[in-house]
Amino acid sequence: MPIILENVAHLYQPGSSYEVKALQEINLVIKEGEFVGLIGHTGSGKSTLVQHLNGLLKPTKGKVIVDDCQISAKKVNLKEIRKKVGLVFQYPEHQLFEETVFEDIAFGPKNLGLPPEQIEKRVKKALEMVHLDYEKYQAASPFLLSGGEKRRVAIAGVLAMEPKYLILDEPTAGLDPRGRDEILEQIKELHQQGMTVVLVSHSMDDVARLTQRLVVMHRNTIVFDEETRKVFSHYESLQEMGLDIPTVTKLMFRLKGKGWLVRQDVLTVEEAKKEILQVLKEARNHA
Amino acid sequence: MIDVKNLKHQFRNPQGGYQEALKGVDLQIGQGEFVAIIGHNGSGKSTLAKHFNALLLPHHGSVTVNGIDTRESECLWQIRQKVGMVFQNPDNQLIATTVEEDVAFGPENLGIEPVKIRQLVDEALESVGMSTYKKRAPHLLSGGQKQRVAIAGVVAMRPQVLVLDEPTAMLDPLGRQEVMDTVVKLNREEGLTVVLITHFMEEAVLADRVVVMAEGLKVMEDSPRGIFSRVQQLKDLRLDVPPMMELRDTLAREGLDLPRDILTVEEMVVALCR
Repeated sequence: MPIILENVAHLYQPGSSYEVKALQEINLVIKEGEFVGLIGHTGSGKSTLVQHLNGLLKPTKGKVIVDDCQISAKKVNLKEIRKKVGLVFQYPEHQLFEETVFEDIAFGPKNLGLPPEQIEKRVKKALEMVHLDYEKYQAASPFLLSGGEKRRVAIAGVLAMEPKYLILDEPTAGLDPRGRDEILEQIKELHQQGMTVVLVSHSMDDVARLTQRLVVMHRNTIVFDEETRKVFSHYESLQEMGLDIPTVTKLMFRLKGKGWLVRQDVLTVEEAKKEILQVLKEARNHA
Repeated sequence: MIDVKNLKHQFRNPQGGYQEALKGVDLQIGQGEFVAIIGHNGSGKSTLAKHFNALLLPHHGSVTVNGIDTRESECLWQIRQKVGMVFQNPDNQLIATTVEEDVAFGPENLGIEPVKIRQLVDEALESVGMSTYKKRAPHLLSGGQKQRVAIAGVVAMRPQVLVLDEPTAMLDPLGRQEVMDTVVKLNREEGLTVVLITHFMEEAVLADRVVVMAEGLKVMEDSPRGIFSRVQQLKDLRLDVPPMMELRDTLAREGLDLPRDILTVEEMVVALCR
């Protein structure tokens, strides 16, 4: 079952003179098993939107429905929804607080009232999912780990809740290239194992490589919601919104402008290579 | 300007042993240069940068700034005034209730007379394009604006060298652009020597020279074109390769004759359309 947002609006401080429209006319369906990218400028409403997905914020107008359960209904069990929808905030390592990695990851499952052996099982599994060795890390203080390790522990804390949907708000911000690649690789694996993933990112190259579908936000509403490849064909509108496109896609646009018969929906270096070689080969055949 | 000779530095690790963060680094930075230092976390780049203004002192070898050894404790403030640092998180660096007070903090501590401070602050804010925000509260600014105020705070001390340790790591693309435009302008127009530590290759490309650090050693040093054309070596270090360099490399392997140093989309278009 999907997450459905129906005509959602969110106002901060409604009715006061400080009223701010943070979201308007949001219609979005996230189906099970999808890998959806969410991009947009700072202030475009991305973070406000993802906080609606697990009921941290409730819509001022419209409906948010998670697996048939409407979040703003009177008797809704928000605990149940938060178990289903795991939200990893920006810089999640700032939320580490326990003395050991084990205790930190166990915090969520403990609050679910699970028996100790189940908790241990979940902690083990969560650490395995982020590729950290249980024996090596479980007793370590989370504060003495490297930046990339801390972030993986924080993500493991969310995974230990065994969510069905995983929402990540810029999970690679501030990491070095190796740390970034490791996290993205693990997110990709989680998706392959069947988890539904929503990835909020500023990096066009990352969303181009990973996601199937891309949602673009601008001025508090959704402007594009299409297959990732198609979104980047709106090069000019994206530029007007101050958003970029992947570097190789840009190259294809320029080559097309020079009269080359190349596809413009190219996302990776490998695809660009194929296109360029193809065009050159045809040119040679004609000559 | 800055002369680093066979620099070694070690830290005590949590297990009680020692870990060598720098294992013998030589580096010269000339006046007016723009040098980028890249490398993974733990490669020693921040440890190296902290030696430039005596936040850390060598355990072996030496660091001199304008001929002054950083270990000469009576020259400490002279060195810190010459070499200013900006760090990753803007929120940890701003202290005052208005932008201009924040920028004035450094000059005030140097004991400069108020009239002169006014002038230094105004000029510094002008140079980072933040003059219109001088009465604002720093916490209400965007990340990129905060970082520009932090840079102004250093510029107001009239340093000769600006050292930036991942100044854009926590910023969005627009904020990154603002900060990099400011840094490039300070270098090109005001002649400030710049040392930029970064993970973003598109920022390193703007420098005159790039230094690559790995495991406490300097492993590569060249112009950006020279560095980024060594695609395989960068990949072995698991560093990012600019997409056009990578594409050039794969096309060259297919037998295409392309110049070795293509960095930008424009250059690739020109090379392909010859």
